[in-house]
Amino acid sequence: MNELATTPKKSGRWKRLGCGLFLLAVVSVVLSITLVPDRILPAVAQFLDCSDPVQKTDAVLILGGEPGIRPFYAAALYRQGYANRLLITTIRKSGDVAEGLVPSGEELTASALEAAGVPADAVEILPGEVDSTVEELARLREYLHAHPDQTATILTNTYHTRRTRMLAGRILGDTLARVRFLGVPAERFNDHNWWKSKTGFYNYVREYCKVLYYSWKKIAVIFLFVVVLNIAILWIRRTRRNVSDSQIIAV
Amino acid sequence: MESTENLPKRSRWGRRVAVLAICVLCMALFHHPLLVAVASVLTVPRQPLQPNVLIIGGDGRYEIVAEAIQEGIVHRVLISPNRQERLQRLGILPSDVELAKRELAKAGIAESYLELLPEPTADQPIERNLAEWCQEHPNETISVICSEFSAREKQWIFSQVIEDHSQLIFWYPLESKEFNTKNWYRRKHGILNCFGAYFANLFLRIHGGGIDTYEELDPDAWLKTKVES
Repeated sequence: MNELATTPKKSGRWKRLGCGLFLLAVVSVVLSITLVPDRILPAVAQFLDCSDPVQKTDAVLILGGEPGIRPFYAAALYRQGYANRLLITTIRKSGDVAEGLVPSGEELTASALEAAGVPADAVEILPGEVDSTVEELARLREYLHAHPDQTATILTNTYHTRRTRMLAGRILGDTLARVRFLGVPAERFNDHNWWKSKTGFYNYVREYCKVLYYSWKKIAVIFLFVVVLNIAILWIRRTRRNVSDSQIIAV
Repeated sequence: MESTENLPKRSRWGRRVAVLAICVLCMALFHHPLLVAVASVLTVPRQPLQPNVLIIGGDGRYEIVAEAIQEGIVHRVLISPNRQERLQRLGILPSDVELAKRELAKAGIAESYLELLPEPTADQPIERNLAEWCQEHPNETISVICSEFSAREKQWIFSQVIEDHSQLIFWYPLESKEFNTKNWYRRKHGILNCFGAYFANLFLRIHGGGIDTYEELDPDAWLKTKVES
């Protein structure tokens, strides 16, 4: 009878221990981010940067967005002989661009490249409108299929390289081996102060959310594993309890 | 009533699963009003246009202001110049001031309607400039025109500085042409905007207002160090 009486107590103790450990983990993460952000948050940013070392490739694809930054770094690659051709995509129009208030993304990029000294014949606009990194990578795959002997560098911001690499793995297929990734710095924030800048904070949190979203299959597998593990533990404990109960009854 | 303590474990779990299932079902059935409520938090009610307007953002902002000037509702348009970043410096992208002049001129509005606020800096952001303007014009009311999803954030920023003049400020949020609080979740840009607005509000509550720093780097020098490293 005593045995039976202690079982719920034991399970309650384990539950309390589990909750305590979880709380401790949460509190220590929150405390370390609050007390020593300069040590933890740069690493959080660096995790998103999956750039390859700079190497010469035939073309550089400038991903859409940040027209005040990316084209100028692509132009530097071109000027220093790391690429012969710069590729840009046509971004679907919205907001001020759709209203005709400001030039479109590809117009801005082309003008920026021209201002940075890249001749117009070195710039190629890939056909078709795009609205996401996935669609841009699909355009690059078509380009690489059409030019089977060429290599390319995908140029984007550092915080965007991990997601780009993840997506490229799915979209580029056999052409992935001919592709490199290069992340360039953002100019309103960097790895060491992104959480103090509104744009930086938004960009990094958004990137983490998108990385999680695109790795939902992996997350689902982990979740399933945890659920199965929990069920197995519960089943083993229940079986053990039943065995000990039957032993007591037998005695 | 039977307490949870006295219930067998299986029945307790059954009850929990049932409650969860009901919650999920309710969320699926009432997703529209729930999502509208999620977005409504980000905006503020639109108030009538005042004789002075400050343009911050929003789709169709210049058309609305031009119409209001022609109807005699608005007498003065305040513009806060934006920071000159690389594209503006090179003349590739128009500054906010050039844009306002160009768009209002298209509608036949004279430049004399425009008044420039000082350029915002980290120590003197736009809300402080507006507070000073309000002090100089104590009897004037002003409408702030901004995008729908940024209205709550802007209102909070302004309320931190313009407490004494808050009765002089009226809000005029503009819906995007692609989405609004009722259908934002059906569009990619709507979802991104809603998400961004929530994070902007969260950031504000943590760090307060202010503007981002900007350091124009030299791409050639950066590339050199990258190659060397």
